[in-house]
Amino acid sequence: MILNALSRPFVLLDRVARLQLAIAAFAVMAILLAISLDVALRTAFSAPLTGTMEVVSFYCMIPVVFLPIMILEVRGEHIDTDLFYRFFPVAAKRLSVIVSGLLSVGIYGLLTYITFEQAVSSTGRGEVAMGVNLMPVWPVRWILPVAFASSTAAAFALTIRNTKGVK
Amino acid sequence: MLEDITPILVALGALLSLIAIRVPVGLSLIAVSFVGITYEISLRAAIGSLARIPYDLASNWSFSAIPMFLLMGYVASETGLTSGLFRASRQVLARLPGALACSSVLASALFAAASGSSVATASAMSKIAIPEMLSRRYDPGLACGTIAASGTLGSLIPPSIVMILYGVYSDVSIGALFMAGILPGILSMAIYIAMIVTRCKLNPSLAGGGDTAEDEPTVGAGQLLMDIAPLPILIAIVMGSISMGWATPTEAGALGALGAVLIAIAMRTFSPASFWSALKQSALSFAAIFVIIIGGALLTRYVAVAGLNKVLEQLFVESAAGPLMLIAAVSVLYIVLGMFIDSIGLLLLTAPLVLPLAVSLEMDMIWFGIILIKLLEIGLITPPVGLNIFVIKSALGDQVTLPTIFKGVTWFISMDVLTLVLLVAFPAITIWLPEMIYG
Amino acid sequence: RDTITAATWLPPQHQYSRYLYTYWAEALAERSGGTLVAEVELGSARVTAGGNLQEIADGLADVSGHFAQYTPSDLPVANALEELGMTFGDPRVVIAAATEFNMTEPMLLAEWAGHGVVYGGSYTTNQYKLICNTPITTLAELNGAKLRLPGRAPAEWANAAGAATVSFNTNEQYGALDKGALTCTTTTAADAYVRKLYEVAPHITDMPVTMFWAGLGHGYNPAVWAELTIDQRRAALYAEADAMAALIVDGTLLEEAAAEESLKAEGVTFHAPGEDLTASIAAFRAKQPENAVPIIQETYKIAEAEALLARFQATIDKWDAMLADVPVEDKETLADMMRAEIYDKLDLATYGLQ
Ligand code: NA
Ligand code: NA
Repeated sequence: MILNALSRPFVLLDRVARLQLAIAAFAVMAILLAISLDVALRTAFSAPLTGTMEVVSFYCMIPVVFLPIMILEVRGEHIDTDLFYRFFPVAAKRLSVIVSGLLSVGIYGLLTYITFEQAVSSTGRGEVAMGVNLMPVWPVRWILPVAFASSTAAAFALTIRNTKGVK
Repeated sequence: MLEDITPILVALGALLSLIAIRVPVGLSLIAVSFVGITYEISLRAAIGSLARIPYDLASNWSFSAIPMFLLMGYVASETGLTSGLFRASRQVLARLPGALACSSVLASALFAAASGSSVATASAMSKIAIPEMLSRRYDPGLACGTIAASGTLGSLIPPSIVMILYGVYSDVSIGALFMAGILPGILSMAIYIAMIVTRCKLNPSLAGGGDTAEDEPTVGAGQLLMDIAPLPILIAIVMGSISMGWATPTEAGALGALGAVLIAIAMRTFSPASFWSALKQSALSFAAIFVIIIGGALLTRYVAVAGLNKVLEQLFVESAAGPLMLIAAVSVLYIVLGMFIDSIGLLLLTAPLVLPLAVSLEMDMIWFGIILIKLLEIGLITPPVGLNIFVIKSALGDQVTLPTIFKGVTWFISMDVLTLVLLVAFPAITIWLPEMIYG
Repeated sequence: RDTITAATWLPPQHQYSRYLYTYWAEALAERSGGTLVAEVELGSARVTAGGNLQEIADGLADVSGHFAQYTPSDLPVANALEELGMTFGDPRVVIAAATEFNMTEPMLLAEWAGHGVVYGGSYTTNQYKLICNTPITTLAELNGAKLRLPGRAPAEWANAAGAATVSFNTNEQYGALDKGALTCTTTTAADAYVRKLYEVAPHITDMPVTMFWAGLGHGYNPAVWAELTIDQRRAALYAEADAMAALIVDGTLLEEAAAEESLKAEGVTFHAPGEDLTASIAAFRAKQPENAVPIIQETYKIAEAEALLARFQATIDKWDAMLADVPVEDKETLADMMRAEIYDKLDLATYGLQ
């Protein structure tokens, strides 16, 4: 919609965000297939697909939850309410946008840092999931810092654009 | 007591302010909880909570049902599977004011009998029913309110995750609890329908301006059956796979989504593009809701470390004079806290305090449990933090605004209060069925 | 400092809530003469199942527990020892040996210190049994059954015997047993009673499968521990002995016996295992100490696995002998022995202070 008004960084951010969403969509499909197959094999042959629970919980759910956050930022699709905001005068609106933007950048930035440290430590000890399979899950830890770093960039860029665009 | 509760009130005030200046709801919850935990314990504890809770919650198997039920709804709506049902219900229920909304309540109740969670029920039904109602010029508030409120039947009509948790905490039979939820669930449904019919009769514009069924040619019985079939088949797949022991309520979501794909293929309405779009929309909606679930879990932790339990203890010591006083106190507490905290978080926070009191007053714990669960479910549709509302908002995007939905559910919240009064006044509604079966 | 916060996410009626928190807090108040009071929070949102270890270190609670099975990579040494879980019998022996070993074995002390917690005491479950919706007493009946198993070793045994291991979370097992997606889950009779599993799974195979102890019954936040006086620390640990003895005697062994009676009253049948089933698990048990070594070396990267297991087995054997003549219901003697043999040997001026 406003795509042609976007400068190059926004086009790039939008492209990254869409890529992340596409990966999340694949993860949704993977949940569908893994659970359906597991149920079918368990019911028909008493031969469940070993590790379905771990694969779905870690390798599918983590990307589904965290990768789309960037596009929520890029497109302003986070759940918020303008019940009061819409009655604000322009100056107050601009201030709201700045406060909200700084807060978002701060939270995503902090989350990027924290989850990066976690990913490093998880990789270092070769983290495995609890349960009978002890499946390695350290690779999925890296999804979080990536998702939060890209969301930080998106929130920052959007704050600048929205501050200018307040009406 | 006042000084104990002051930090919590300040935090909730800050939360409301952030939401008012249009900070996303999930980020508002995260920010307030982070500052709150830092204030109560330490920065390290706040960072530790932020490091663990999002990852641990997201990798929780039980949540995998929600993207699957979302997908089922998106596939059904993208491929037009269920539009026929609502066309048919207009023809069959042509004389009933608000027929589409009424059949949506009924469909949600049926769906609730397959799903263990209110959010999952609302997820599936929002994309199936609301676009149909909007395209028939239903009042958006009524359309969204119907699905948000009927979604709460997911926890009241068995199976129900909240009931299992309550059963473990309160030491009552989960099977008996399941039985006990059935009549209150049907009662809630009947009261919703009665309210919808009455309102639409008085004000036909709520339901798209009265009876316009003549706009469309009446179809024959065969076509009618084809129109109706997909949703009952989906519900049958989900319910059937659980009752046959093939799948758990969590896994049944995936079978429902797979069923939607197969039905769409059979009806020749499936296309890879629509499937891909449904997958992307499911991921997007789920992530939008999950940011709020994460924020809600952090807020639950904050109020725990801020000593909410001490405040509650004092509150309840004063009010524990009798069962009705306890129910009144619990109702006020759950309605107030339910504005901010989701149902499972609220149950975890309050059960250790409230349940022993109920036991000491020799209350029927099944009856008390159903009242608690009904109260918890109301919290899913009250502002400012109402998970079912957010499910609908993220499913419909710009088609509706949050204030419209919150306004639309007000009627349903009043009906829930009426249901609660009936459940309290007539315990038999709740305990007759389990007593008959379990003795 | 005269108050500490002791919190668990477990619900109020859980054995650990009742004995390691409520009972322990009473014992602490008494033993410290009121100079140290624990504010107990049961079913608390301060701590979570998976994050409990870090949550103690972060100070979200001053005292809490942690099940090591939930974080296998964080606690390799603690988890490695549990490879022997199928080979032990008496929970009294295991809780005493586990407490002593955790407080004296350098590898374990380093593991706890590395995570920023001070080890206070252990927990131990009773023997887990098969809780089934259809009788399982022979290898033929086990073959093809769908089991929810609580650990790597029992799953290896059951798979070898022809059973299928399936994953369901705790909240799902009730429904899965009810509808037949699951044939058996594995837990104690007391837990089966509390979770109402008898409503949907009225057949219990009366054969011990395995037990659990790895982790913390109680861990202390090190900063808070350092703020306590030596007398307060002693009072806290003496109360640990009281609480663990009561947990094992009243809350585990006697309660299990009571739960068995209650289950029978609810119509549950306890089935004696058939000879082939008993022989199969016995054969697996016999080889387990030897089989565990390469598994521990590979899974938990502990090169000296054999020596570690031998040291733990020696501690187990010691307590086995010490408790041989102590009557099961004599919790005072058990508590006194733990105080004399474990806590009195610690230097409380330095223990837990880095
Ligand atoms: Na339900
Ligand atoms: Na609410």
